[in-house]
Amino acid sequence: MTFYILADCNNFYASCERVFNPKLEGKPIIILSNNDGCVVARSNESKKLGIKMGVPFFTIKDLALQHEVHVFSSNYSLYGDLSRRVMDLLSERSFEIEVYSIDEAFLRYPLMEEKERVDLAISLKKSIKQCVGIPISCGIGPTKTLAKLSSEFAKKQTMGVYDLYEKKKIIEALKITPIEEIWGIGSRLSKRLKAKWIHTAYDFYNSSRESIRNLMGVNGEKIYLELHGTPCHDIEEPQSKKSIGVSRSFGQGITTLSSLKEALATHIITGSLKLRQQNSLALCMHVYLEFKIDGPTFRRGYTSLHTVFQSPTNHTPLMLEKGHQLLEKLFDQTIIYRKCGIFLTDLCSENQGQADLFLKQENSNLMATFDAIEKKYGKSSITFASTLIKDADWRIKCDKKSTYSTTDPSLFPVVLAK
Amino acid sequence: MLEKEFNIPFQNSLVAAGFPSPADDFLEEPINLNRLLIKHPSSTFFLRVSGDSMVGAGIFDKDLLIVDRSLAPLSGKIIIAAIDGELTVKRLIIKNKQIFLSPENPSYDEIIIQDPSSLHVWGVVTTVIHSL
Repeated sequence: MTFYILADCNNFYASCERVFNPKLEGKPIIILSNNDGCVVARSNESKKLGIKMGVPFFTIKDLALQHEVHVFSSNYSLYGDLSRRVMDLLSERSFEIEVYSIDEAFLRYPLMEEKERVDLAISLKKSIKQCVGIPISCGIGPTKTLAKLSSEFAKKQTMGVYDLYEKKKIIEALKITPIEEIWGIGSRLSKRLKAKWIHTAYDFYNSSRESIRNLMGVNGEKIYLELHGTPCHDIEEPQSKKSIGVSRSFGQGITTLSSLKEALATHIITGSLKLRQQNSLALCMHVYLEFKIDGPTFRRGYTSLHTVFQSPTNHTPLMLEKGHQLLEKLFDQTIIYRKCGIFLTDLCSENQGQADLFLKQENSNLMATFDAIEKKYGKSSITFASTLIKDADWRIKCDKKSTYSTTDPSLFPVVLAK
Repeated sequence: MLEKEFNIPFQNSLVAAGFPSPADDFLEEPINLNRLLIKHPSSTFFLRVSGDSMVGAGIFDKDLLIVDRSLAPLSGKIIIAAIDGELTVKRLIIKNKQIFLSPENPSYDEIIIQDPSSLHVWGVVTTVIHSL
């Protein structure tokens, strides 16, 4: 017998920006996507001001200035690094972990008494806050579905922890939860359920198992069982890898840039395919080359560069473009190369990537619509929000991308000795 | 911290110009600086020093600090604390139940912490890297 904790970072991107900037505690923060400045993340204070997810910045510019909202462009290398640390620490402190997204993980433990469960969750929270600086909420439950529901309640508690184990408590929680907020039931499925008079999660819970099975099939039945405390979703083994590497050694050694580019292209195509197969996007791509150092003993030389994408991606053309740029910087025509490879790191699930609604390259539907409108109404009829932000005054008030990095030595955060 | 390990072969004999030593073929176990300096990778961060208030402790402007956020802040340790919302490096002194944040430079004053609960220790400095 086991129980689950869903550990969920609170307002993750905004919290990341606070880690090295304590003066941002309690202040309204928003994060904009790098391409065209739509809101991809908000701190609680920004949510209270009524700033909605996904809105173009220029629509809330005045509100932001008026309330001194701190505005950042997304710093994915920072978010990816802090996420990795949170997950590594949670992994050390749990029996099993399934990293669900950049800021959520399911943890599994052998069964404990209520007080022990809650104390455990509190200690996890304190530990992550001290060691990485990220506040998390912990939802405890007998199944993943209940743990996920529990974490929504946890966010509203002062302690940031909620134990949804007792049947009475579960029923109370289900009664006040709309059906579409249950993990696995989206707006589409909930429409079907509402047509059958199932509006709250409790209505769903109270239905018969067979009727749910008839209505929603096996997956619906699993959700039903999970709400009733029977685990159906196991902790998923990481078949989804945390990083993907593709490389090949050259038998003869390569000296020309064009041959290297060809080899790199095949690696990138393979790598992006692997990403799509596991429904992942990569924030970071490292390109490396190996060569032999002349001398009496066999020693390997190694040179690499990496790039952080503006948004997590598995879009081959973008990766090829960036990869070739890196290769051009790395290439030295006096060296005989033995091996070429790539690493794709800081992976997140494709669901996470969808938060960035207006990605220029990725969203082909959007681009197709954009082109169609331009064609019909003329070039100036529609444009991306970022091109409209011409006035200088909002730029003065707004912070841009936090310019420090936890992984680039030339950009480490500054500490004052004053 | 990028996790790629870069092992540096360690030359255990004196580096003399001239004839190579036959012992050079038997190199020591490669040193991994990460393993030597970073005990808790997930909670260890690098910070760049700006200012000279800690020169007495051998911490100079532009030095790199290795900070472990999982370590307990004990009296005498060099810590990172948030002062007026900025990360600042000081020596933590606890004397007669009073808490002080002390500089290591006579040009600067120590700070007395009146309310212990207001002190947020960001982390403990374990190593300073000073480039010559």
